[in-house]
Amino acid sequence: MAARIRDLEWATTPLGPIARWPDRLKVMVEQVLATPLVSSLVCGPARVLIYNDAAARLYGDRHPGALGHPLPDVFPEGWATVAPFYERAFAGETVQVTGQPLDTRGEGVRADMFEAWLTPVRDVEGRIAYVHMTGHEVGDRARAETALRESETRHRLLIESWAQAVWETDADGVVVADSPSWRAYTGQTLEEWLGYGWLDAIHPDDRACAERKWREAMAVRGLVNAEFRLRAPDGGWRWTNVRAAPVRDPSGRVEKWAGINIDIEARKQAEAALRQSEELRRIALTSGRMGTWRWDLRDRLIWGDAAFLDLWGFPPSDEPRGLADFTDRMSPQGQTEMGEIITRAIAAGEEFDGQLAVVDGPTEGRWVRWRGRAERGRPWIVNGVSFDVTEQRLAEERLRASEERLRVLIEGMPQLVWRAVDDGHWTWASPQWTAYTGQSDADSHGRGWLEPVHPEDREVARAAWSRAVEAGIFEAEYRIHHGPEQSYRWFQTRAAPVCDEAGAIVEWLGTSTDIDDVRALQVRLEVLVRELQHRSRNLIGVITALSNRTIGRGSPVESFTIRLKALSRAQALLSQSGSDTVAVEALVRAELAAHADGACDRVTVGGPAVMLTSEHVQNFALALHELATNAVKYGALKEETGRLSVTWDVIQAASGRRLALEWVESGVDLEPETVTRRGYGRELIEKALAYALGGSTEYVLTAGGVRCRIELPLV
Amino acid sequence: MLPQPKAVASTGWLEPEKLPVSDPVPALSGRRVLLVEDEYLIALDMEHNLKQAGAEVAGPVPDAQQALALIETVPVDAAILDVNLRGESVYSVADQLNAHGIPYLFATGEVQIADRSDYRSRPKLEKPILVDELVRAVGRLMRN
Repeated sequence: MAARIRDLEWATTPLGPIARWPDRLKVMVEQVLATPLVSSLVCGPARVLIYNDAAARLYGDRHPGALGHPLPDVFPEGWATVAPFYERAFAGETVQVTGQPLDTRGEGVRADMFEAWLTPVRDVEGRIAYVHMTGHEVGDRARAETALRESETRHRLLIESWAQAVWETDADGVVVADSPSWRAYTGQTLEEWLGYGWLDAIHPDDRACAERKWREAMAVRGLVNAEFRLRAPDGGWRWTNVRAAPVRDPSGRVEKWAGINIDIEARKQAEAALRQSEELRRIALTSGRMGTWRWDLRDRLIWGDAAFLDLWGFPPSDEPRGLADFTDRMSPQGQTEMGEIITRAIAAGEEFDGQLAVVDGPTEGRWVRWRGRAERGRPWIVNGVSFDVTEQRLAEERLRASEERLRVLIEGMPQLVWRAVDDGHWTWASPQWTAYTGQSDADSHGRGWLEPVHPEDREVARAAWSRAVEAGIFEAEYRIHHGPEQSYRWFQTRAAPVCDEAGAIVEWLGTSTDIDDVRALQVRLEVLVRELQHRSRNLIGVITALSNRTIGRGSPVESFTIRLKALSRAQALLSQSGSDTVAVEALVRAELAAHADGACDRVTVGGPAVMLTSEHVQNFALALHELATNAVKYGALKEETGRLSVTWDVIQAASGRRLALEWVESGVDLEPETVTRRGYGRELIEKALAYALGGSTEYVLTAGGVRCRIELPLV
Repeated sequence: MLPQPKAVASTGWLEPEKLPVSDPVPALSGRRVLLVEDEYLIALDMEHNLKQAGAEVAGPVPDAQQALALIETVPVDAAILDVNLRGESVYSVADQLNAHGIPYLFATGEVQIADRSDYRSRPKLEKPILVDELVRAVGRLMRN
């Protein structure tokens, strides 16, 4: 710098050439150059600047141009700030300038803060000719102090935002200073807080532990980080995290301890809740037989928890098991599935979901569902869960079976089954409906089903629907057209509503049952009942008449009862046959058996099979009865010598087929009085058949006994 | 037509009461009643009872054909008709009687009389028929 000053062309400056400089100026310049401090000399009214190396460093790119130039020209921006100081100095005052920012352009250094002394320097005449400035940079220190202040502010804000208490102790850990935040957090008074009183604010269960940790930290001068419960102003306990650190002086000695308390009550509660939920989850996994596992496809090892291993009948273990352990207990299908997985490429994140049947081991018969996902980064690792779905599968199978049974039942039942909504809008018709009517399921939908209903019955069906919703049941009988036979048959149709849980009708399920045969049977039954009425009333009429003609006219009671028995036998034969007809032979033999049981060898019975209707039977039987009783009393069946031949045949006459029956007795020694006898019995034989049946009777007495020929028209 | 039975008072066990002895003049005296009944024994019994009551009996006949013939040949004051005659109904006879203005009643074991108002409005006796009942009903027929 001295060389620059020497070499400068001072002649062009207000100071003139160096050779003409006064001695005082020369001494001051030497002094400026000699000091290590930033130093300069501002000369004369022109304020010409001369400065040393330290200043040059601060001036940056203004150096070396600034040398020998007026200060206001060199620092036009900063001059306004420093000019008053220089004015005062030139006025004779020694001026101290502190913390002034200076516009300097020093490279690599930011010496924008400056502290300086301005000292007036007089010439030989005693006038202040120069101002000597010495100064030093304060920029770094000022910045550091500012940064510290700001940092402290930020820390304090930060600490205050999440620390509930901030405090300090002395080097021995004894509280000697107040901490309003501590007192606010704990509710302790200052007296309670000072010393070791803070221990009293800690939960009794945690106190010993807290004190121990504190003393340990003191001993090793380490950090304190502990969690314990601290009394809250409301009397309850809150979890707190205490953090403290020793504060050292520049020599490294512990000056004091600074600490904070962070409230962690919410975190503790969340942790407790999490523990509880994890416990619940663990319980759920265990009791639900849900296991978790990890499967490494490369070495085919599977790590599983106890629940998983239990599913496959293995004891709990931390060691992995080979895939083969599991496939050995799988159905062949499961083995195939596993084999396929381990032999193909697995995509990252690929998901698996399957069901495996356990066919061996303690859990044989169970079904295990497994769901897994290949890891994104390591697709050969599949993580997943497995759980027992046996009950679910059984339920599903039962449901399927039940639905299948229902389907078979519905399609197998003889009824026409259908479903409908609202008031009779069909939504489905069973195959039986289509088979019977020839109408397709689709055509039956809506009101289409009315088409096969007999036109006369459609109103009945519609009316039944309009009643159905209120009655809660649909019931009607109407005719439905039978497609294959092109005829109508009667059906009884019933439907019941299917309701949802709220009780609203969702749809109707209906069946139509063919009751045509039943109805026909009913009609037949009515006819039969009428016929039965007619017949039984007639029979009673006949009995009444018999009674009147026998007992009523003084005949012995036996003459009535014996004929009543004959009527009974005829009725019995009718009811036995079930066809309302009786064979001639059966009638003949029944009559003979009733009267001449022991005379079979003397009786000949023979003829073709001829059936008599119920109309014939009663009178025919009575006629045979009269012939038989007569033979027992007086004729062929009375004496051992008598012979009886009963034969019949069917003959063709002009009026049609007739039955011709010959009753021929022989070997009978007729008594004279019987020859002329024409009693009620003979009347029955001769008249009744003629009257009622249009028959004819020829009754003669010959030398050997009775000969009777009966002819009856056959229907 | 049929052998005349002896005049013996009816002692039918279904009818313990005897005809009123206080009535000296038989109820149906001098009247001819057509009897159509297919059951011989019943026909015989009814004929007997009617005669006991003083009536003359036309018939009995067992079928409609004979009944119709009889109506045309013999004057008849009233008729007793069995409805079911061997499966054939008696209504043709009823119609003929109607045409002649001859009153009649049904004596039947049938539950139902054909659904025609003129048949339904006729008196109906249900079998078994009591003697008294028969005579009274026939008497009423002719009074009306």
